[in-house]
Amino acid sequence: MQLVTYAQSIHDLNLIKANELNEVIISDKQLGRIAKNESFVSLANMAKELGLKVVLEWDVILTENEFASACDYFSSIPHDSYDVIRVQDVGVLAYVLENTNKPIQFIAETGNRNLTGLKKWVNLIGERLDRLVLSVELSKDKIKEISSQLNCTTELLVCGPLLLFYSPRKLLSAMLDESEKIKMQQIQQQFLTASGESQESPHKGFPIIQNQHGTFMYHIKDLFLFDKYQELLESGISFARIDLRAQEDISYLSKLVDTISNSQDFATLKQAYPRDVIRGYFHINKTDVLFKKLKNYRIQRKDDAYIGEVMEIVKGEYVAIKIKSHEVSLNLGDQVKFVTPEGKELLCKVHELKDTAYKEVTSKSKGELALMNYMGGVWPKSQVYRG
Amino acid sequence: MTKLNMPEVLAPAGSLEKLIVAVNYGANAVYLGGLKFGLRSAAENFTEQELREGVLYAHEHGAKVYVVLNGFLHDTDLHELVNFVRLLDELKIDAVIVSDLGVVETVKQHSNIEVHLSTQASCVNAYSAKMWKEIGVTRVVLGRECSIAEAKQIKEIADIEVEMFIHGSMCMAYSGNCVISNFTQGRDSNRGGCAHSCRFDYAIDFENEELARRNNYFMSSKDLNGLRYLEEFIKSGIDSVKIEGRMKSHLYAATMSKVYSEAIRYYAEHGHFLSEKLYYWEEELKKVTHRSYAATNLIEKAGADTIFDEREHDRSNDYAVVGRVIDVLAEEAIVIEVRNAFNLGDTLEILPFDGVAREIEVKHISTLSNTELERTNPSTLVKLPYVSHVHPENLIRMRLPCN
Repeated sequence: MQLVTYAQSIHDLNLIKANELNEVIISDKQLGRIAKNESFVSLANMAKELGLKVVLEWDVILTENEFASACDYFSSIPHDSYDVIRVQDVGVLAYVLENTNKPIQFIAETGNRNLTGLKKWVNLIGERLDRLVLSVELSKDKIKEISSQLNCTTELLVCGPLLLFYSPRKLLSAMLDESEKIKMQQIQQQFLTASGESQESPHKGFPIIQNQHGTFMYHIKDLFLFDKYQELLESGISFARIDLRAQEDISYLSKLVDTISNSQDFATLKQAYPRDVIRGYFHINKTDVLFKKLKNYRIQRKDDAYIGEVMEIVKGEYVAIKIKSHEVSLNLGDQVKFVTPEGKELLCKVHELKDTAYKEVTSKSKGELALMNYMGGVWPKSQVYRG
Repeated sequence: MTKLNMPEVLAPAGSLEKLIVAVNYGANAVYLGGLKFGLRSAAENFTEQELREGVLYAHEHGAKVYVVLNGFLHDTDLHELVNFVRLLDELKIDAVIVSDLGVVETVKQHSNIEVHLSTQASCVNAYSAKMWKEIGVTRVVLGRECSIAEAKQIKEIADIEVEMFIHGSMCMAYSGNCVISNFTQGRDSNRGGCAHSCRFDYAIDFENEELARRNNYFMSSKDLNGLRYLEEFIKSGIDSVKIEGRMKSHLYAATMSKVYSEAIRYYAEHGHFLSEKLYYWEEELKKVTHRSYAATNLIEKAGADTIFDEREHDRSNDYAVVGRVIDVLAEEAIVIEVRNAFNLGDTLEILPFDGVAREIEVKHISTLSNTELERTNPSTLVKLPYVSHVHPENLIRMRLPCN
């Protein structure tokens, strides 16, 4: 498993080289979501001089008009200034497939949680695919399965901020009044940063960034998986990505490389990390287990022998049932079963049946309203089945 | 003059009842979810039998049915999906709405169903639309960040059907690019568990100390309302205008389907919207529960004025459904299922499937067994005096009292 990280300055590049990484991800303000450096080319040239493989990252999402401008800008970047291009938007992927011959690293971090889809991306990009960047929402078992079955190298964010929210709208500056906006312009504040907390959430201090591409909110804790180093190796991931761009400098990289190469003391390494950390979904992802609590399944109709739904109960008089089934009608003499919203089941024989005009009838079918003899314990929204 | 194709009005159907409402009130197509694979786990959704009945009802009334399979599905989900896709094929639904390439593959391998790309895939440029077309998608539901003009360009360049949201709640993030619920509530927002954290009030501390701390609903978007721009949708050749809101009320499904379908029919007939009816339709849209309306990105990029910096919406003009017509007893009475209580003397409005709502004053209420009542209760059936031109399934609404 190799390491890869971002550079935004010459200092970063030197540190990356000093730590003997082979590859560096570089972007700039035009093409990168949160890149701070103005120009890609000067940094890329320096990286090349240092013998690093240069990955140009173009990960912003752009609508049609902005996309055209970005393509123009991209065309102005000398092709020999980078080795590989790294993209996320499917439109950007299509554009670079059509307009360059560079190898492609495809960021499949949004969605893309199944092997079937990932295999298809590998087939679509074909020989141009250099690497697939996997979602941090995949568990290690799934990563292992994917890594073993895909015919390409894979990458995972192993240390760095977790992006929770990406909006093209400028949500921080929207809160400023006119005088504050003028003040911000005067100090040429293109990056606005803040932290947010809500009384409705136990999580406090979400880092928020606003720049020309919109607003980005991150988890209060960074992802950190190096203390699961052996499991990472076993997962078959080819590249572990370290994202230290939110920190003042990337000197932590040296500690990390040293720990991997020498001490293997990952507990100390974790403690030295400048922010609180979580392991995310690396061990297990159970983010769908709460779904069954989101609604009352007892009032959901089961299709076998279903007749309809109770609409009204008038004590001592009748139970009104809307017949909803196409196939099953309600007839005088039938045995029916009520399933109440609390899940209680009650059996009852239909010995009296009327229509809405309160006239006696012998049968009612789809779309009609039937008034049957009163039954205690039944509530509106109870489901009615043939008993 | 070249005859313009009118866009279909695509309405949400959170349940079989809402499907019937949307179709009755003019929707040309509905989108709905089965019990799994969509993004609205808390919606009632459709059992297999409800799906059968829903598709039959829609098709009998000339409306199409699209089924959402737009969750970011895992491999275990895909195994279960195969049988569901086969069922959908057998039911002859008109398309599935998909956001994930694995799901596209599964659908194409196991059925002949058309595939529409969900807005969850954030397709917002022509290159993206072209690639999805090559993959086998026949329509793209564009990301809500696109303007109508951009949608027109995308359609022309990619030569693909284009669907755009015209009304409803908005995600503030690029759809599919928000995982707040996943990491803070343990509920995968992209598999149906969105906890709407973007609607919370946040205290914001700027790093720049010159900026004071402030509280703000800074991630909450105003609701989209594209009625004023419907002519641009039509002239731009947008194939389908979509109404958000499978979790919303029966009144919402009815009002949206009715207003947008009536407006499009009016334009098809007259070639313009120079009519007092536009004001009437706008007023109708205000009668359903909504946050403040905005055009968001339809014409220009959504700015600061599209943020809904409030917790609650203005309810001063809200109406509620008080009932649904269950039966019409020939020139004697109408039978109503009461959803919200009303009293003798109240003024109600019957919402016809087509045309202007009719006011009625409640002069007499009785139970089905003819006991006279002065007030009604929810989940009861009552009879009101007969009113002409009222049909079963018409909704009856009442303006909510102002607090």
